[in-house]
Amino acid sequence: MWKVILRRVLIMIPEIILLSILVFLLAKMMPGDPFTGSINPRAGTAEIHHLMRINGLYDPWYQQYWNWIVHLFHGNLGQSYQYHESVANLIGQRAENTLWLSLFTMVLTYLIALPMGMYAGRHEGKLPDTIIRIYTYVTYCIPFFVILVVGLWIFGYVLNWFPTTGSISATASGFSGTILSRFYHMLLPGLLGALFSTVNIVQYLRSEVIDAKRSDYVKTARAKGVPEKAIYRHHIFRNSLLPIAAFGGYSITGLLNGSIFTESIFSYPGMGLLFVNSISYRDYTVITALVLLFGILNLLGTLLSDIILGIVDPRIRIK
Amino acid sequence: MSDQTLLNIKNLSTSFKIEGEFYEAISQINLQVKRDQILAIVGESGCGKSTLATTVMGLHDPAITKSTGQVVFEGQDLLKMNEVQYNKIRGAKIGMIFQDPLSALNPLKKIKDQITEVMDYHTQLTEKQKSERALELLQDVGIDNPQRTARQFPHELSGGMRQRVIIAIAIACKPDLLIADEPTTALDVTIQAQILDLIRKIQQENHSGVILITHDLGVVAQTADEVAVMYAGQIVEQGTVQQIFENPLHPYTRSLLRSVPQADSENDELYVIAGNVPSLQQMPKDGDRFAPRIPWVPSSAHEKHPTMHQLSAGHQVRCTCYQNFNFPVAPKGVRQ
Amino acid sequence: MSLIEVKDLQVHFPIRSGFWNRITDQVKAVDGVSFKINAGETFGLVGESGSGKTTTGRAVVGLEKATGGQILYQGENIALNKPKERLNYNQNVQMIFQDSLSSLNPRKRIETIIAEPLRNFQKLDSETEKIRVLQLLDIVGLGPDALYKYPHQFSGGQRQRIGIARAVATNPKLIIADEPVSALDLSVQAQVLNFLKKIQREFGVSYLFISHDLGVVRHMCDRLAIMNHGRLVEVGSRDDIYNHPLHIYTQRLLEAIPQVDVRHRQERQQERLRIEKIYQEQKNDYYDQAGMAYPLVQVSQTHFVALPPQAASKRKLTAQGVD
Repeated sequence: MWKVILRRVLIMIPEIILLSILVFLLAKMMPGDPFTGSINPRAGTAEIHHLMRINGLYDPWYQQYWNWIVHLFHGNLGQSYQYHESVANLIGQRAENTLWLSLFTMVLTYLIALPMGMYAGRHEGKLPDTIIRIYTYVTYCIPFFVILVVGLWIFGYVLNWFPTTGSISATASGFSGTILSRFYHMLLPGLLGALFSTVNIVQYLRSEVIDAKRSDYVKTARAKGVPEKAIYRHHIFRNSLLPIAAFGGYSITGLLNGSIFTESIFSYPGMGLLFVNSISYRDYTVITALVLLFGILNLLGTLLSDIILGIVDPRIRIK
Repeated sequence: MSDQTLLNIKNLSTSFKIEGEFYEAISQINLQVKRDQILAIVGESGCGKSTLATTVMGLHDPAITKSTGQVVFEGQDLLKMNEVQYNKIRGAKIGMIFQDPLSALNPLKKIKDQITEVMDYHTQLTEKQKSERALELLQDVGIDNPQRTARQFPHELSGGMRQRVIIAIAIACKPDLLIADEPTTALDVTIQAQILDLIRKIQQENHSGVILITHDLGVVAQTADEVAVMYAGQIVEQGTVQQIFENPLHPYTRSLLRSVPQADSENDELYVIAGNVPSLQQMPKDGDRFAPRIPWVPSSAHEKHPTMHQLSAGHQVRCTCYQNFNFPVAPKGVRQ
Repeated sequence: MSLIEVKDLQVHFPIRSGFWNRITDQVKAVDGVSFKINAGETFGLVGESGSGKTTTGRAVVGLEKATGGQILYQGENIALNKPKERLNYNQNVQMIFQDSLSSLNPRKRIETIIAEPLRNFQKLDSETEKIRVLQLLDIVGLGPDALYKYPHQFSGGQRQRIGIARAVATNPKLIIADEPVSALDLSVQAQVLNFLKKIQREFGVSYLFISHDLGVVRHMCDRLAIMNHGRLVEVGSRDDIYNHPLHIYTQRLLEAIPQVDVRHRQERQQERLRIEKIYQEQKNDYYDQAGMAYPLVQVSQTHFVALPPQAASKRKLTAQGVD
């Protein structure tokens, strides 16, 4: 098992190198320059060329890439052109916000999805199942940002139940006050995010439960005289949750992608919002750092899924 | 004699709901299973033999299944039981062996846990006693290293070993009746022989009754005491294994036996039964269900409402058409 | 000259393990198998699951890459063939699969399925092609109404016959039938076997008939080989194998077949248990230290057995004596 994990980690190294080159080149290919909008609008092209030169932006790409990598290893992700702040610092603050929101969304997702999927699968074809299925189909059809915008409008502006922007209110003070305020700000984006991300899990779990229900080993359990409740507890749910557990790692990917929408619509100061802002300001250093980070997190998510599956599924565990 | 009867199936019919309507999968089954006896139920796919077994075990979804008649086991009608009462019988007094030993075991549970599970619901044993009994059972079904096997998962075992585990589960509570549904179909012949020997040995040791469901006439001939031949949801012939194989009467039994490749049939055409087995939806309501497959036999030879006829002690045949049945001289029905 | 000759065929599959996922071992699915099939004959290949019989068949038709050995078709080594000659071979060697449902494309009509090999190997105009497809359907007893149906609209037996029609389409010289009837009911099995025999009578095709069912093989085959752990343990005529089996594995396999014979079942069971006992005692003599069968030794004109070296040298002497 350890060998397998170690090998997977080692395989990740060339993957990350390739990813970093790709990310770097893509950022280079983006049109525009980082200075036009940020300096004195009357500055001529000569001045901009000068700025580009001293910032090393006219060096050959491999030279720039190499500089970037060397700095990366020194923890120096560069300076944001837009915020005039070190990228590491910039991301650091926001990563924390994104982490909390993602974690919260994930917990909510599973709290909603697991009972729903299990119930729908167990009582397949009954009215609640039909309702759950309609819910999943409808949610699946609506684009994520529409859900967010409509949710924000109804619950934030019309009903005025939740704050519509930021991660904490300016007046929050004290330990519990801060935490409560943070929680309050996460509630609406978290719920809406969970509403969306449950869909896949509910559908997947439902079909897993239905498959397990009809499997031969459940027939064996019935023939043993195991009561229905125990059959669901010991055989059907246990076996159907296995692929869902493995899904956990992959869901990191979905959450990160989702954070781009959620954070920009809720003006929630996380990595997603930073990413969108950096793109509109062509803030290369931040974009490259963020894409690289997202990429690495996605790779880690996949690795995590494989490890979870390896731990819970004996058919894979034995190596 | 009657006190030896374990299971008495009377006029049992089971219907399944397909697209809103009920269709009969088995109809008017009458059968007795006695202690110290292996009753084989033989027929081709779709004849209802597995439905019969799963009906006795109560394994059908009641929402889409309807059973009428009686299944009297040790004096109680199983069809009238609720789930709680049924669960006291299943696994304890009736054990079941399934066709595909890989899918019949939970892939995520250790063998030991799958064996002790049946004891959890039917015995008062402590965890330690249950584990010991599980090892004992594995030994009984001929597994060389029970300690090791108990710790393993199903995918780590060979097909034959898995089927032995299934048998260990089925006999864990020493049931009076054992239902084996195609227990050797997924296995190689040498393993098949061992498994059949094992089922025979267990049956003799426990003085239990066995229902052996199979499509393999050779297995029936080598293993069974009594035989019921099923066609299109009905029993068409029933008798001792000698009566069925040495004096087969019903046209279907005789046709089946004739289509087995034999040592002396090397250069002949095999006999082909004309036509197809009717599907559940197309099952004729009246008349002899086998009549369309022996078209050269005049319809006057068939009964309008075929019933079972007692011919000699224990030997019963459906319909009177057997009296006029002869195989056509040139094999018919090569084309369907 | 025989139609096809398989010489010392080997198909090994690598096992990868360890940190670098390097090839650390091999599964010798087929390890030195040799046999010949003559024109118009049916050669049976019998074995239990995992014996390598299916892999052998797939290697002969080219679906599996051989690790070693030769396959000579009408005297020519097909592995060395140029693509054009290879095409000729593919046209002449066809296959019938066990699972008729998964081997027929579910989205294609029967007409297209059967016409496919024709399109690959023969350029026919659409009229001639259609007539040919109808002929082929007729050969396997299906009417023209089958033409526009899809595979799932047929029963298992009918689908298997469609598979046969497709295999016969290019007038092949050899058909590899991999467990063609093992998924079928007895009465349907009889029909498919009859069709296979009829096609052989009419077109003179040879079969490599792969099966685990010794009863069916006896009905179908002139000669057969028993395969065990990737090697042949016994090759001979039907009479050699069924009436004079010499290898302990063959004897055990034959005794294990349940016969439709009630009268002698007690004796048969005793005999089976006796052979099983001998098998358990002697199996180490019949296999080398790696658990593989010994090379085949000729014991009569038609009969070859993988006897242990000591017994083999004795047998050879007597065989020479007979000559």
